[in-house]
Amino acid sequence: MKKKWITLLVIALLAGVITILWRVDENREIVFEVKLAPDQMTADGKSSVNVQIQVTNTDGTPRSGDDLQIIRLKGHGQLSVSRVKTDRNGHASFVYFSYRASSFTPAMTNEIMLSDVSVGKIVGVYKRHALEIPVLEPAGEDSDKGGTDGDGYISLGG
Amino acid sequence: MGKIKGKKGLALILSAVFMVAVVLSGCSGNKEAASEDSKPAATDSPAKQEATETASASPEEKEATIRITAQVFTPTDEKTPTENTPIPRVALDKIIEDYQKQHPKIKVEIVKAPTSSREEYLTWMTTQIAAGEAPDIAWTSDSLQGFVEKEWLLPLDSYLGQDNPFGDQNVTWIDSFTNPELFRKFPNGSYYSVPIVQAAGSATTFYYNIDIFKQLNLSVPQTWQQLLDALKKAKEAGYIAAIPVVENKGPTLWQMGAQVSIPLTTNLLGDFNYTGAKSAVELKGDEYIRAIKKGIVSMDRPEFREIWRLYKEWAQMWPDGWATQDMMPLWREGKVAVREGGMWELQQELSDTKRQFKWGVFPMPAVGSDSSKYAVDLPKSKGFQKNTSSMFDLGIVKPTVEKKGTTEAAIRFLQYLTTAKVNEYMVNEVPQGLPTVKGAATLPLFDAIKESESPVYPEINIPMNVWINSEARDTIGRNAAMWIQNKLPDDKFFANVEKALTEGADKSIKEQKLDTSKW
Repeated sequence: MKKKWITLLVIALLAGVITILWRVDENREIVFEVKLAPDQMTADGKSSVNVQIQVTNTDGTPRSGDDLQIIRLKGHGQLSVSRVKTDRNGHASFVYFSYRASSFTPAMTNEIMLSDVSVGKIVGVYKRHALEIPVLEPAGEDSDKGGTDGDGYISLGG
Repeated sequence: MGKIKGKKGLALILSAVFMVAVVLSGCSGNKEAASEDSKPAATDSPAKQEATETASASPEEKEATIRITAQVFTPTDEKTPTENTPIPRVALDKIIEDYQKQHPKIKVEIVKAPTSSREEYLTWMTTQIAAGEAPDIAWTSDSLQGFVEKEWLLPLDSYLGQDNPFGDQNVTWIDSFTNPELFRKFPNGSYYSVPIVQAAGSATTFYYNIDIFKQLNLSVPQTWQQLLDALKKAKEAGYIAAIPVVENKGPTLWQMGAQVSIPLTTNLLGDFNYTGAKSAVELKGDEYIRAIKKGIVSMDRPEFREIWRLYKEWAQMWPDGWATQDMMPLWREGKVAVREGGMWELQQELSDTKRQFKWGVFPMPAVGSDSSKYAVDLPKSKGFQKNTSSMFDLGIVKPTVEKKGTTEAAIRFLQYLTTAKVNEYMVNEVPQGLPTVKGAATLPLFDAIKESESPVYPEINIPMNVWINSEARDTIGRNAAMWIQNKLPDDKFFANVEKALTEGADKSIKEQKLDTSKW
């Protein structure tokens, strides 16, 4: 009987510790800084926006190696990737491709959510940041794309 | 006893700790997901109807319910993006909603079929057909041949020769696609499916580790021989040279369709093209079956033995255990120079954050004169090549539509799906390929691939067609797996392949009632 109580007490203590750690992580703030280049695009099926991200702690120290999940919440553009990892300076980037406006896919402000899934130490904690990408009715010219580096390798990732 | 109790207690503690962690993770995710979910979801209902896609319901249109199974295009249960379902599929729902508004007498239902494997899907279709419960429109899978042999599909020739009432009425339905070669013509001259997705460049491709290539000073291979030479160097340097895609514990034999075959058989074209067709579209459709029966396609010919020899050289670059072990972790760890793959994996590959090396894709190079005296050197060009086959097709399920009287309703909905706007919307929701209809825009995601050079295959060609029917494919695949691993001698292997092709040809002649009198 005594051993049972001790076991239950240990379980309760461990659960309490985990809960405290979770609360600490939940309340931990991180900072997303996002730049768009350019800051908008047209619904012409050709243009794109480079989304540059930096993730830091509140004291400004970069968060390196964080896994960011990228989700398109609203709109019809195409993400080049659905996950990126921050480098040693907390930087990551991806491309958001435009789409052609139609009755199914009207020009509208698209919304992307960045979800840092690396904040929790023991228990998963998501830290999210939403950004808007204005997508305008088409009027511009086609943009050219190419992916070769100087050695002729067509690099798509890494 | 004390030890046992101690172990039990520890197990109990660990279980409880685990459960608490899981619950808290769920709380953390759900709390904020719930707050996101509480925002109104964007509604993308069409702003206005566009004239070319609104062939209105005719007064004669009867009430009908048609059912469609669309595999990868099946909408997800989750309609709002979340971490768990980051890319919900909604396009087909919206397309159906739009169609039903224009055709209030027609109801379209989506049927969910098993999608984890082709075999599971085929089993499901078999039982559905037997029970009279099959959908009206279905994905034809990689077993189009099998579907046709079982008479599951309605011939579409007469419909393809008319205009698409929802599209440009100055062209026939078949001509509204980017090129007619996307349609598979059967030896009896009929078409049984409609292409929905085509490859961006090529459906199959080689993914490669750029870091390894740079380290070993390797160039992107332009010919099959250059590929083998590069792989040999990678192997000598201690890397895994290449890993294949495996189907039923055997090789895919994808390269049999073009890269290792077509350049080697050009001198047989005169005999092959017995009607003197000037283009692929003019071919009768029975040329390959005839070629088998006439010995033009024969494993006794040196050209075909060369095809297999060159394929085996590629296969011998694969590591031991390729047929049974999952080699993808080795690719992710950067130990593999080249892996066989498909464009359907592109976005998944782009999103792998565990991988630490630079990577890219290059088109599968063709055999050239540097490999074999029988091979011609094919020209190359940049950009997306004209595809001569599709990646995803839909067909009309004959037993269903004949039983229900829904042939016309099913055809009309399929015509609607193959208008430029609808094809573009549906296909581009799933970034694995290009739309098939003229005027539909392609995803800019694939633009980098346009920079690569691909071989240009002659329009009329003779591949090593192991897919003439499902039995032939299975037999040849099993024999190839053994032969590649040196478990079957050459003569036995070639004899077995010859037999499989001949039996397949005989079966096609019988089942499709082919007229051989002019052969």
